[in-house]
Amino acid sequence: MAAPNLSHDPLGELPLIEGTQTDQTINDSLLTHVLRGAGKGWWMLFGCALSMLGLLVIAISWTLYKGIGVWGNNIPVGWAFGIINFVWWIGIGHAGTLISAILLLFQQKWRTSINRFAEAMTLFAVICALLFPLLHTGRPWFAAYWLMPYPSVQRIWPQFKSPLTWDVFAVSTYFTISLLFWFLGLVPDLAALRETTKSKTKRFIYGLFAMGWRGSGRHWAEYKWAYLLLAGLSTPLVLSVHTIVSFDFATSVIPGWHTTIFPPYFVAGAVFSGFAMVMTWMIPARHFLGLKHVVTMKHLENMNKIMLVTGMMVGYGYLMEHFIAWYSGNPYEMGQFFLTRWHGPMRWIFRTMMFCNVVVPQIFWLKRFRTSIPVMWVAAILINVGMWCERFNIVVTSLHRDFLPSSWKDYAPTWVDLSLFIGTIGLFSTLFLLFLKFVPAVALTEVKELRHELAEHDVVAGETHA
Amino acid sequence: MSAATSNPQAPVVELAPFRGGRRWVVGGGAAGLVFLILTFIGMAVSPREAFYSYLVAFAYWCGIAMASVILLMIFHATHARWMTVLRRPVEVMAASVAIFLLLFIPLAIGMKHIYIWVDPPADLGREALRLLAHKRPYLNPTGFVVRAVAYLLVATFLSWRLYGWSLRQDKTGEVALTQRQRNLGAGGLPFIGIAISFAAFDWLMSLNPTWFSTVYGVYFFSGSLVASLSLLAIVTGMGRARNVFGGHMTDEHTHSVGKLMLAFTCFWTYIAFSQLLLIWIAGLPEETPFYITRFGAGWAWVGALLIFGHFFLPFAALLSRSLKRNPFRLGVVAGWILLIHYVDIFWLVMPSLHPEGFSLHWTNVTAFLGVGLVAIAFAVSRLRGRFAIPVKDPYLADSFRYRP
Amino acid sequence: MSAGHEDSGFVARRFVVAEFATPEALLAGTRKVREGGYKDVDTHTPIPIHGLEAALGLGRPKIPTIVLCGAIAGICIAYSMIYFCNVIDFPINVANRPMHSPPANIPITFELAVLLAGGSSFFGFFTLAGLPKPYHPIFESEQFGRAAIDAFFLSVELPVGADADRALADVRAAGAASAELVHESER
Repeated sequence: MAAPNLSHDPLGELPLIEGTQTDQTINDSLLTHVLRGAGKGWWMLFGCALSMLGLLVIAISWTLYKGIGVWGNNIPVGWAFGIINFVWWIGIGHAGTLISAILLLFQQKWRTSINRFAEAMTLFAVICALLFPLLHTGRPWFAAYWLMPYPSVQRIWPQFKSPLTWDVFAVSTYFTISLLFWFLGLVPDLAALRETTKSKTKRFIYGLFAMGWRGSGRHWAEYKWAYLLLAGLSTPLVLSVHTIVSFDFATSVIPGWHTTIFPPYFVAGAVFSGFAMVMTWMIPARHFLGLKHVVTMKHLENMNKIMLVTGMMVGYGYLMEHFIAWYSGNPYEMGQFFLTRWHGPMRWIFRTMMFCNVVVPQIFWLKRFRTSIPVMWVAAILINVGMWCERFNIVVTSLHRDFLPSSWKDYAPTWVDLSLFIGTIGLFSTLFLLFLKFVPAVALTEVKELRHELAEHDVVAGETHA
Repeated sequence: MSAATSNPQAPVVELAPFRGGRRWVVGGGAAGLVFLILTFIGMAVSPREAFYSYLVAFAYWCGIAMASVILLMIFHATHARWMTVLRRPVEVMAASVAIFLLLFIPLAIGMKHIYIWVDPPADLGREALRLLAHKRPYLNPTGFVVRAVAYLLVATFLSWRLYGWSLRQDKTGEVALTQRQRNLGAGGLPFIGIAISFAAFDWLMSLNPTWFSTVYGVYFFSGSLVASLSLLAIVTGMGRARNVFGGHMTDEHTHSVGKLMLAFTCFWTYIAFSQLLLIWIAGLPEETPFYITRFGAGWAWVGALLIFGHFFLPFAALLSRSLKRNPFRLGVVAGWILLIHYVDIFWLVMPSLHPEGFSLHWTNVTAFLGVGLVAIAFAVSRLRGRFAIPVKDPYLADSFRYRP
Repeated sequence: MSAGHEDSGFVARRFVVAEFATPEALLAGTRKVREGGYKDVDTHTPIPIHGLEAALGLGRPKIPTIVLCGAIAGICIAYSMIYFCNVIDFPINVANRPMHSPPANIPITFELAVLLAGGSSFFGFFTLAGLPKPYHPIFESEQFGRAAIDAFFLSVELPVGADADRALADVRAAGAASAELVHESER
């Protein structure tokens, strides 16, 4: 007989909710961080984030004032930081949708404690991402005229055979649907917040956003479907978004860009980097916000496993790219993959990428590292770095050595490029800190539901046992 | 429950070992052998037609078996509990991969009739000959055979260990065996993933040795996985109708298999579309010939049939909730998918032999039935005398009361 | 203000609001109350409860149909927009690809289908639910706030002239832990 195990799992898996909880304790513990005043730590972080945001404002103003000539990119490297950061941020957003939608469809119970958090990340990451192509157009105030099909007197329409117009639709759809999905999930939680807060003003404001939700059974019946279908729609959507981002490259004929594995490989990379970003934020947040009882070691371990899997997929992508570059017998492809990437001027970025994306996640084969908080935090940050390097490789390394050696040219970013990048990190952090302050970071209603489910399950398990 | 088991929560399952399937093993196996012999006769009479037909059949059935191994490993790696009750059929489908080591022999013998790179004719053109010389270190007869044996050995080893541990657990109920299956299920995935990808390169992509596509391995895998899930839907449907699973498999399980079929039908479409779009829009002369032939005059209708039959039709049908919960109706859709997956493999292979247009040879039928029936007979024989569900799996109770 | 009170013809809606101890009790109670002949029955819970649709006697959910219509509308709008722009109104030769290039049209068609389907799911739900609705008579109950936190409530709207005391007794008989009568306030 196995030792009497508190969890009914014969393999003694870690619990999803720790301690003895009731709806009331979950409600209160998950709302504390919203209801109490901002602490010193929060203000300090917020200050840092705001100063980085200031840098963003300066960089944007300078770009708009002087034009995008102040960026480092120039022919043949026509795309550089603007697109690298765009792809990087969009990819980060994908973890949120993956957690909230795909894991919901696969009935993964562990998603409930982290989905709200990750969905918020999606929204903020997409906002950061959107800035870059918008600024890249040079004159964003004309962007609508170029990008959106609207009947102008000139009777000129967008050219829909271009992947850049697909991008406009993909990213704006993605942002809209993510926002709707996030808000729909938030409505019952806002109602809980409305009823929990003692302050009249907060009650009014949260009440306003709760839309008069009263937990009606008739509403729940439709709500469940609306939420599930939004999840169902988000799943192909999230695949399509990064697929279309990959089309931006793969529809061209540049060696290193044009390869058919790009769509799934970009999606895997996006999820990989997104989970790394979730980990980067979740580990401190669960500590400082007191969420350890609902974001348990099991959640962290599962996320590490997903990073391992998606890291392997990314590695598979690298392998296929290299193999087919050789197999194709195309000298430009071979030159790109076997000379430029490994030995060219940007080789250190490529080697960093290989190390961070392929080697680092391998430590998660071992349970010891999968459940060690310092290890996973460092690994997550390294993976963020690695995935940024990957986009740098794809965008810059491919462009700066393409066909004719006479048109090769090296690339270096300017201070504006760097400030824009750091600035968006500031924008992201600002929005995220505000989110942590004003919105329940954990999907309260779903955790309560999970608790009921687990409790019911325990009863059943107990009966079989007896 | 006896005290010997280390799993106090396993439900007591009143189920006798599986004794059915004699007709499949004896009758099906004999018929399969007859069809195989007919195909071999065809190989003597018109070798190119017959060997191409055999390649289609081999890639089809072996793909399903390898995809089943992957499916089983994914189930283990994700610690899925709901599928415990239908894991045995998957294990058996996966175990059938061993027979393909034997069934590969005709391909090894006949490869010079199939692959132009074995002995490139001198009038192929300078550029093509240069490319083939470049690829010689990879595309050569010895490497082809050695690699194929390696792919199949990897798959056989994985399925053999997983099935073996599962059977041992039927007797001993050791919980540790579940842990082992999970570890191997996760740890083996990179190996089998690479095996099936390069198998697709070797067996199918090298038919046009100057053509290449990085996503081809994923394409082959995705189609095979849909077919494997469809076969699972049919097998479990038949098993339920004959009460093989002791009534433990419910509409919920069938429903979930249907959902997976829907998801991977979309996945196949996604991969197929991505490959098509990228090659079409870039329009590079070294890539487009593949589609020019396959959407050319004589083959266009097959390509169109694939778009409708491999995506629109199953997608629309599988959207229905009530259909997915009905084993018979799901089985009909699954049968259609199995058929259209054959069309898919046929469309990948045969245009290399008949670029001018669709043509069906009688060996297409005999090879399909021969390889298929032999593989099925082998698979069913692996199940006979064993329990049709893993009776002492620690998560069986979870699976029984599965209600999403 | 107060003078107009009698003239306005305002008749306050009345609700019996009852609390149940557990979700299971609520399900059983709901069934009993409905069997007792009450029409406008609703439940109020912090989480969705399995089997509530059946207990409330609700029909098939309408959202899936709405979403399907949204998706089909999205497909039609997107494809015809692309066709109109790039084939009819402003044909332009791009690297000699045909004016009507189906593979290139699929991404936007898909995105718009998802956008309209998702939008109809979201807005369809709020329309069906009649939300946002900042005021509802049931909020007059002091206890009712806990329906958003950890309590399970049943509400019955009483028709004009119905006997409130009998309704309260019926609800208690159905297993309610407590029950009260609330009136809509006039505003």
